[in-house]
Amino acid sequence: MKRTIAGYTVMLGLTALMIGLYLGEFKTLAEIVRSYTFLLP
Amino acid sequence: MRAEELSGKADDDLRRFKFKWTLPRLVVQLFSLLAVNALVFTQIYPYLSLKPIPFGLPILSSVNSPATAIYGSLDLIQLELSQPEFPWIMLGTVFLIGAVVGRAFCGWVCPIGFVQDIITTLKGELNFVSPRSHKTGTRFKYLVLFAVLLISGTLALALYLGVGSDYKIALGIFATGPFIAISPDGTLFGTVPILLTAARQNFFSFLAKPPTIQQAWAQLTQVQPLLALRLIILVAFFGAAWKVPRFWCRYICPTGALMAVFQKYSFAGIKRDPVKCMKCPHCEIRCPMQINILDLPWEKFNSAECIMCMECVDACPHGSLSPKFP
Repeated sequence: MKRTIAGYTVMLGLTALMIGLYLGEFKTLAEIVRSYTFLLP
Repeated sequence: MRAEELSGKADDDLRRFKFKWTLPRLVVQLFSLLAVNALVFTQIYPYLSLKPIPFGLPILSSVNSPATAIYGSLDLIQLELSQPEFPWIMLGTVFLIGAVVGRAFCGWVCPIGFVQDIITTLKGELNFVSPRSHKTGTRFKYLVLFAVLLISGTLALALYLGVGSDYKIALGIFATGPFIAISPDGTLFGTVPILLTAARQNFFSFLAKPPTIQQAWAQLTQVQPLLALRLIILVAFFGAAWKVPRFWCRYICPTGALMAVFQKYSFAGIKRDPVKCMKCPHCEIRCPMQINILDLPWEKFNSAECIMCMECVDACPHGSLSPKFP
């Protein structure tokens, strides 16, 4: 049962990754990484 | 010596040799600490051209530190929600890593976990919390995670619907990430080195002309409240880690809470051989997360608190514990 849940979780994770890649989310992440570094003193 | 005796001796030696996980874990933790804070090398060797990776891992690694090369998933989730963008990739990563190795990143990769391990090693003993307080405390981190996701989620929804600008202004610095603003990893690897550099630069002028009490008090009152809060949290973090091993991971860390949800159903786990197990408490005594290992099912256990540090496996004198995958 636990392994089945883990298997479905892996599939969900892969699906979310694919959607993110399809939507070009890495561009957003790259922009965040570039602009949000070191916010505070 | 006869051939049978020699063979028996070899078997005994083989049985006596037991692989220890402590050294490989230490190497991985050390390497991870350097890799996660790899941008510090650009300060030492300015000709190096390193940039942060636009990808996160389920560890505590703050965007507030200029040395960070690999950010924490929860930090990036909060920042994406404040854009507002749905964090598909980061959620996918969390789901994937959580399902495969559970909270192993807490035990093997997280720099904050490594710092706490060093503190515990320096102290040389593990303190135990009363079971009741421990049980209540472990629930607190889920509350922290809920609060973080509630603030970030409602802000993202409000911004998406075009009515969140006032909410964002009201949240101030917490709008970009409620937990990022106060997390001790950013203070430890970002703020403290910068403060120390500034202190070193002003040290000789301070010695040449020490400030009066009034001047010192005036300077202290100019410290930003958020900076003061961050430093207080950092000091409390060190104090708590000294008192209780992995205090932050056990009771506060929202990333740990997020991964604990998956740990229970992850492929990675530990099994206990009921034939070899003598029910001695060595494994429970060595566990930094205070898990009642002997009460868990022997076939394979995935406690939500288990960080797969393998301390119990190393501690077992009978070799009854071993990792199990899947």
